Amino acid sequence: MKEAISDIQKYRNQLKENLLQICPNLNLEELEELAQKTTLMKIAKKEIFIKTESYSDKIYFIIKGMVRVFYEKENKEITSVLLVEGGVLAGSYSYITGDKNFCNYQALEDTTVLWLSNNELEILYKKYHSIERLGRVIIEKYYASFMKKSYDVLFLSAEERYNTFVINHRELFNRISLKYIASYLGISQETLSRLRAKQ
Amino acid sequence: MKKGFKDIEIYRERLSHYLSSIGQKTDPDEMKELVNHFMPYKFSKKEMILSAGQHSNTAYFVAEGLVRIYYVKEGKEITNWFIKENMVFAPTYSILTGEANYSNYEAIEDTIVLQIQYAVMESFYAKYHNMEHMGRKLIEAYYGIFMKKTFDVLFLSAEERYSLFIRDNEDLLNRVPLRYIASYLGITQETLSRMRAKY
Repeated sequence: MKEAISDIQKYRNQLKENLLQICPNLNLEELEELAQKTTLMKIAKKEIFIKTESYSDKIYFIIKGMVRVFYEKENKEITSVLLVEGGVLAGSYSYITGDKNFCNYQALEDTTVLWLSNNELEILYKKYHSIERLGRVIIEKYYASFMKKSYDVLFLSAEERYNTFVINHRELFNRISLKYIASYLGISQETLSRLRAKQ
Repeated sequence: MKKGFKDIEIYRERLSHYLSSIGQKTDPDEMKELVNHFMPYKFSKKEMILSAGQHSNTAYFVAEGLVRIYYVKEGKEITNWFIKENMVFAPTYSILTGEANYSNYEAIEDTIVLQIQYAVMESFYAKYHNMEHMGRKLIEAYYGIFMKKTFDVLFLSAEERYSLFIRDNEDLLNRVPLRYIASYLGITQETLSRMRAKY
């Protein structure tokens, strides 16, 4: 399809902009090479595209849409991460530890991603200093948010967690079912409604 | 050479050995340049290396001794990690988020560390591609350890966590007060004693 070809170029340009925001001093030619190696994938709303118990072999860049990361414990789904446009994701537990993933990754909207295989990524890391730096900076960023989430759960009250969420993700309220926000915050939907009414 | 640290070159050699094992393709001259920036400090048993509430940008390598990392919640100390000789630790929460650290770092034996500002490490990452590679591997390794711990607490039974701990840290049983180990495993001291008797 002709249209699809121009589309992917548009998405790759978007990807380059997103990555430059994460790591501003990237070498532009090296970034272009990375972008050209990505593959387009469309994920339908509700589809789970990385399953628990799987091994990770790709890194995904969200161009459009939204992804929820969740795990199941005692038959309950716990939402641990919500990612929108500009987000980078991988089955990071599997990618880093070599063990199986314990989370599911589900599109909450029709979602467009570009993906790169881990092998391609490793080749680019080896070849280019600035791409390897990008890799480190992305890991640092997601490690930091993972720690922040753990910190919030440990030390903040439900109300404080809610307020933090509103400050950082106000736009998500109109895009996402409240049950996922409640699960992300570790509170019941009733508590969430109460907190929203209070604001 | 600083007085009182006659073994500093031995410590630095151990450190470069450790970092080379993480980075795999490090250059010996670059590594020597880096480890010479690590300075030795002594802490007595029970002395605090770094307290919760502080901002810090320092990374540490334990040359001798043992460090306990814990946080305080509702007046209770919760032990998160033990860092023994030839391991590194850093207040990654403070370094990566820029916020005050929430953990305490306590020497639980007489301890000698080599320490460096993370910004100095980053300057080496920027200067040498091999160092960037090592830095990425290092942060990935630590992210991995953090995720694994989260996974263990979520999905493993107390008994499974205990046997993993024994497998990886048998030596610590004789070096660490049992109440800290129980706290690390999230169990009471009575349960820990029962498990020890069983194995």
